[in-house]
Amino acid sequence: MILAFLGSGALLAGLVMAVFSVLLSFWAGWSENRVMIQVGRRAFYATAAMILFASVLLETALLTHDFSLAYVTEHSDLSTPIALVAAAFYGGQEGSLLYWALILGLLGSASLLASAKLGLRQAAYAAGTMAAILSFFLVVLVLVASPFNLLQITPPDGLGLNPVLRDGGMLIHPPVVLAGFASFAIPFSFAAAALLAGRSDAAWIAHTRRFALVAWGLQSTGLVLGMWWAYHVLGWGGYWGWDPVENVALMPWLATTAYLHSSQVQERRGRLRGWNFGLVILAFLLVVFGTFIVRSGIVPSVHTFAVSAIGPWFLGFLGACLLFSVGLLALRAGGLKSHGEPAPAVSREGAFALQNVLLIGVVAVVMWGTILPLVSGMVGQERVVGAGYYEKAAGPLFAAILALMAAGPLVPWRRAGGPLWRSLRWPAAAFLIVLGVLFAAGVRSVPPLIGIPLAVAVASTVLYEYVRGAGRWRNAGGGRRRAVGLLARRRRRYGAYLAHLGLAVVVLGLAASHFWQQEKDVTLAPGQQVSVAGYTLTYAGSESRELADHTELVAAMKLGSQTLEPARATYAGLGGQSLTHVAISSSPIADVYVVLAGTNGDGSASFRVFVNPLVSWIWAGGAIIILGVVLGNAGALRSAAEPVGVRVPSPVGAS
Amino acid sequence: MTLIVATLLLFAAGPFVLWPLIRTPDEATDEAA
Repeated sequence: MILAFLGSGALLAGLVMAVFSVLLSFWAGWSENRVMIQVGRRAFYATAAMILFASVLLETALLTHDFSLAYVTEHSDLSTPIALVAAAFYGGQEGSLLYWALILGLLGSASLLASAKLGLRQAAYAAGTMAAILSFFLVVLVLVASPFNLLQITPPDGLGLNPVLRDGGMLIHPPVVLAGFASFAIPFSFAAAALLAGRSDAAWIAHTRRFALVAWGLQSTGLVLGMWWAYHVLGWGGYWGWDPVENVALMPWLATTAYLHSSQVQERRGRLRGWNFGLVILAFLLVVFGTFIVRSGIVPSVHTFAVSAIGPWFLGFLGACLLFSVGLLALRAGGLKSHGEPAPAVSREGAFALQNVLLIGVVAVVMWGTILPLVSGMVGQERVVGAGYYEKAAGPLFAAILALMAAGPLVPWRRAGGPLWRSLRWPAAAFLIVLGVLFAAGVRSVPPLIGIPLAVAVASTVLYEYVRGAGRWRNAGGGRRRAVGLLARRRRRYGAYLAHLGLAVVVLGLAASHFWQQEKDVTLAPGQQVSVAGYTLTYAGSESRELADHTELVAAMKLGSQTLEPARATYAGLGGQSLTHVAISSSPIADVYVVLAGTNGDGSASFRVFVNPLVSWIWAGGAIIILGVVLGNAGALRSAAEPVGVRVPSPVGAS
Repeated sequence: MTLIVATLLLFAAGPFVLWPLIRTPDEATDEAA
């Protein structure tokens, strides 16, 4: 009980401190009062400390099974493994909001500590903006969704975590994806601060880009982990269902992908100033919008977690953020005009601009698909869209983006000349060869005939760039020291290419597993076999196993020397809820994915067997993307853009 | 109880937050001079 009072007190103190930080930071920033700016910043750090204290208290309450707290009772029980009890911290509505505030507080503090090179006023406004966002979360945590609410009677045991969440994936996917969501607020705050302070030069880009990369990296990891978890847990043979929860995680990722590319145009050529502000702001607004959509329950979703009364609060917050952002952009519109001569269409700048338009096109497609039930419900009959809509509408856009990924890195800044066509012959040849091979192999479906050759073309462009880099190194005399120097100088570029290569690998995995998945429903008696796509499985029988918090009906399927054990788990303590445990035999060529549908009185069992080609490439590609981001940016104390042309820094007001 | 805890925490955080405003007598004299 004492934990509840301490936790509530910490959240209330955090709220007071956050509001203090907002007021002081904006006032001190406006009056450029150096001392008060520091006080406002310290108030932000203190807010983060209060949230950290509250988080430690909630985790302590969970681990000590303090069922006097409603949150602990609703999301854990005595039989749940201790690691999952700890994970219940972010497994429910209130706890996930606290976790969100914690990440924002900690990353926000780190971003403020790293903002020494920004102007006083800009850093103060950033602290004020972040504190304002944090204040909103603390208001919700204090008034509407406190994880420290007490029950009138303390029960002897809790209700336990939702069975679907009782999985190792619970320990990694939700914290990463929630951290990704929370971290989009940081680039937004620095963009808003730059606009408020009237500075649109490359300094804010250099600072914001690092934290946009952190957010993008976290969100990329969260998305891949979410796909991996869905694939391993849900038992439908797929990994992406275009569910609203997935869509709202994808949209800010797409907008930030666009920003990470277009920011280079401003860094190197001083153009796309207003557009870059717009993208950072859009990514954050999409996060708030997505949170509203998911948490209010206004659109149907398979993610039933966390539907509550906080929807209107997030709607209000979204409205406030939208007004603030639009007002700010309108106020500074005059100073955001680009300087320098416009680039021709066929140039690196042109490629980035087109890629941005295509990515925002995908955002629009996903957005319409997500809100259609809501909008159509308002005007009459509710309508929903399925995977076909997204594939038909976004598929061509993704194909065009892949084509740009294959050609764009080879197009020089400012203008394209003769050498461009010579460079492009490699990805073009790779495209045509793979197209020919697929056609010869009997593939006639257009999407794989376009998607797979394009992914290979992207990979060939990356390899061409690496070979070109190696050639430069050899021409310069070779040697280990020179190689390290070259890699270090251009690490951002080579890291980005590695991320491109990872995406090409992901696309190959997505395309193969999507277009050539095979599935079969069978009922087998012990000893009987089934063959799917050349893989032969033999049913060896089933048995029941008693585990700590559930019973499992386990079937044994022989696949060569391997034994796969698909199962159905039943949780008696949760009203007999049951769910399937998938058995997967994974290899670089294909996954054999077996789902136990049920057993029959005569000893036979029913299965759904999938053979999913190249699925493991998706996870491997995701890891390569993250590796590229980390290698390309680790240790980058400041922006490492290679200068091209003259950078034109200028304050917004000067036009 | 919550209010008391919040007040105590704010009181405890005070010196850290207000540190830039806190001057030793020597610093205050230097500034005045």
